[in-house]
Amino acid sequence: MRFETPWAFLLLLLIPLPVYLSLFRRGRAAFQFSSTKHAAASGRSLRQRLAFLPTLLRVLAMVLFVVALARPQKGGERVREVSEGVAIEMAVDRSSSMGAEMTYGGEQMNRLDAVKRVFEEFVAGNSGGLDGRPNDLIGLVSFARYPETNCPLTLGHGALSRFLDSVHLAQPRGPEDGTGIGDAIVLAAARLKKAEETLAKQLEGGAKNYDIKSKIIILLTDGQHNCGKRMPLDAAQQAAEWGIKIYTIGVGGGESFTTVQGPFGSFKVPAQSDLDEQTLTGIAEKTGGKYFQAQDAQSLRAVYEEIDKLEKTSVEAVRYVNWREYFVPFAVGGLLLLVVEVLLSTTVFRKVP
Amino acid sequence: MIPKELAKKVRYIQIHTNKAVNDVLAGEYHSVFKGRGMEFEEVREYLPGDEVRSIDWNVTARMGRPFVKRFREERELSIMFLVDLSASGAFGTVDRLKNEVATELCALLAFSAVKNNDKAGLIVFTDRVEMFIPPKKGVSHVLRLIRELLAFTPRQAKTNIAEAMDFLGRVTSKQCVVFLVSDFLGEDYERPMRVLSKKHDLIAVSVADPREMRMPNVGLIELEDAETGELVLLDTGSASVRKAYEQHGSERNAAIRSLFASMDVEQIEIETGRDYVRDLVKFFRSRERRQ
Repeated sequence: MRFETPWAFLLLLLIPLPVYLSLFRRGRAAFQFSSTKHAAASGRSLRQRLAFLPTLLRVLAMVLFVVALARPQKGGERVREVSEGVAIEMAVDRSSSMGAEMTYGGEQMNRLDAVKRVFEEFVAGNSGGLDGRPNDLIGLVSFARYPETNCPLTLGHGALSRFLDSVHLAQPRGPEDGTGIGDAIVLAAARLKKAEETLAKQLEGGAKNYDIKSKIIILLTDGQHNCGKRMPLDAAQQAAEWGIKIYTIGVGGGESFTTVQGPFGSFKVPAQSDLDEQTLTGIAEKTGGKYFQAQDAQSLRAVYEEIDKLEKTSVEAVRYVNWREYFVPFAVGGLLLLVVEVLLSTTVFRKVP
Repeated sequence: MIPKELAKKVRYIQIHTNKAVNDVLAGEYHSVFKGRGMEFEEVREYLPGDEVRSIDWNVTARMGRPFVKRFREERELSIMFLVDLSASGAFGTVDRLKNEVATELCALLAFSAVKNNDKAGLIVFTDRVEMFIPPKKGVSHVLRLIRELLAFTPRQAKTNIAEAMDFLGRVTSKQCVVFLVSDFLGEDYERPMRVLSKKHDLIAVSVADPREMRMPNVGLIELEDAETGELVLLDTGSASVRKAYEQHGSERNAAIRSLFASMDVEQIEIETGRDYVRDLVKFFRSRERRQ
């Protein structure tokens, strides 16, 4: 709590003036009367004893107005002004094979959920090795047979977790199932490029100062490319031309199971792994990125930590406190008191003359 | 007041008091304010019907025929008007101010005095004597008196009746009829009044306004004392306050009345908005009866 213009309190010094004028001396209209001795001795009714009320209300209103003028403020939220950062597009595989189970933080969950968890920690930061990436533009593309944009590149990371929730596994052997790595890379790369262009346009207008230092795609998959118009390596070539780095994460390998809900209860089916490490490595190398393998949740997290370190941004972020103005209740209160004062002094406490 | 206006007002008062002076008060005034002594006029022969008491035996013995002594009433009265023009008089709620009523009353009495060949003088006072015009005869003197009264602007606001009475005691040696015109809102005038009433024929004319006795129900009113400037808030919306106010008013009136009665001072009660000629006639009648 602070006051923006505390010198307004000097106006409080003026308050005794109307009090003096209205309670004691001149300035009060009055009938000239031959002698007020009788009037003074005739006793005081309740109304007379409360006759100071309008003056009191007026003084209170003035005090409130002065407080409002002094502009009381509260430091609400701290807002960061970001001037530059990394644009990260996350491409998540949501094909049915991502339903394979893995352990994360002592809990059994499918790969997609684990990826979501780790990604959230990557963005927001956790108590461990991840600091969070508050200065970066982060977007989300998920893909199975077709890629789709779940979240455009944004600095407002608060909305990201809700977008993550909207990513669901594709139906096994459904029309959407599949792994279109090539198309996903192209969509993510196009998103990054578009974002940069938009920012460049805004920069000319001088609307907002933000530089994309580098553009990266984090591609996470557990299968091999088996559908889509573009081949992964061609797409990687395109991304490299646009100056986009691709980190690839291969999930799986080793033993894993899928829990299948059958008519006689649930049972586990060993999930076959067909991780195409060769392509993923190729993609990473072509664009100057790196390929990681994550067999379980622990290693997945380690991978993110490593990416986090590789893409460190040393950005001087301007922090400032967003002071919230609290003059409104004072001004409204003062106004109300003033209205009550006027009402009272024109009705109950109406004086003649 | 500009002179033209003033002249008009004087003329107005003269005309309007004329009727009262010549008709209503003519006989009353004469009979009430008789001279204080008898003046020898002549000795003439006795005529049947003359009082035997008035036969001058010395002259009768010398002449051998009965002669009677004739006396004439000594008029030559001095009427002094002590007029209180303090700020409390600049108040009136009906059609005239208390001071205006007081002025008209003085004019009326002064014209009556002149008609009866009496002298009229004037003392205007507030908390000190502001003006003194020694008693003199003649219509023009009375007109001057009225003009001075009308045009007078007092320098002080407060009232000190005692001082004015002391002053009168100093400047007059002869006994005279004194009309003390005031609202008697001042204090501590009892002793000098007692002294004055011993020597002079003192008549107290109390000028009041109906609002000093009772207030209508108009809610909160702010009153400013004309003399002290004191501000008082009065709640006339409250019946108990109004009643208390009325009670105070009548108590004060009763107190003044009993004070004057104890000093054997006669009192004329005048109210703004009431015809003061009737009050005067009433006073003269009662005075005649007492004599």
